[in-house]
Amino acid sequence: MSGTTSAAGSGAVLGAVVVFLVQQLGYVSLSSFTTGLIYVVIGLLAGGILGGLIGRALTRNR
Amino acid sequence: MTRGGSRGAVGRGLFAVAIGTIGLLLVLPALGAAQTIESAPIGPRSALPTAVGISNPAVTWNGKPIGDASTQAHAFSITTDQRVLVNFSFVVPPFGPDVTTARIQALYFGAVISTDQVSTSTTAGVGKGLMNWTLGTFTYLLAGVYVLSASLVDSNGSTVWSEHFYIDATAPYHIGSGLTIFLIVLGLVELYSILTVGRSVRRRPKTGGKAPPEPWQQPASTAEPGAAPAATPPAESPPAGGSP
Repeated sequence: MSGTTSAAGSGAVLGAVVVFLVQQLGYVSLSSFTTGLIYVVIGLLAGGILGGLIGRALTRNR
Repeated sequence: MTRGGSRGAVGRGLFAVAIGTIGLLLVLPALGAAQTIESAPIGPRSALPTAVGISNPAVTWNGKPIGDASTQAHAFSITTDQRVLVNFSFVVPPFGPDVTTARIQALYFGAVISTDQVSTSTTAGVGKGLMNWTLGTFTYLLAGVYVLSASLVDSNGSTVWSEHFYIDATAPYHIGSGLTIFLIVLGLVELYSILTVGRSVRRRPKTGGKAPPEPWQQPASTAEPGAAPAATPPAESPPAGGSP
């Protein structure tokens, strides 16, 4: 597994974790199935993309 | 197993744990209860009570009408270990439905995760029900904003009336719920995994290149001139002697 892929996977997990954490802190409601799923998918995608970019930058520089 | 290999195995293990946790969070509603609620979409429209056969339904949450918390911005603030007095009242017309149960359900991803219910009493057409509501088994696990559904159920089990409202459950010190602590730890582990990805790649030998010398091997460039060549292991030869 390359560094970029590994970081993208970790970033996706981190994105979903952030969504659940924000809900636990009371900023977002995940009570509706559709809304909750949209938030989680957005978190997965955004985290995966950001993580992949960060991983790519880190593996290039070193 | 080498150090890099063990690090990779640990990373894969953590990744699997993270995926499993997120899957568990998504399955959590099914663990709470198997039944899903059939109701109007959550939002301002759902705040409109739907009464069939009863009149003047009213529910108070510690003395405040639940209609006051019809949006997330106006959610009732509670602590996760708090008990709340919920008062149901309604009027049943003659030949109206036989309302027997008052119920409060918490929703998560559209499914019911906790249900509290009490029996109602109807005297001269006026029904009442008093409930001491808690988060139940999720008291020390969950926090945050949730939608609750207050409903009145008749003797056939069908919902006569229901209304949605929001609560904002705060854990002690804001991180007192088990899930919050676990999510923070998991997030830090994943963040560390991202930030150290460059280091782990640098340690890995490039494919096709010459593998770096092991610590006990002497590099060829550092060998002093005139020194004796490194001893090479003798080629394997067939054992002396013939076959019997």
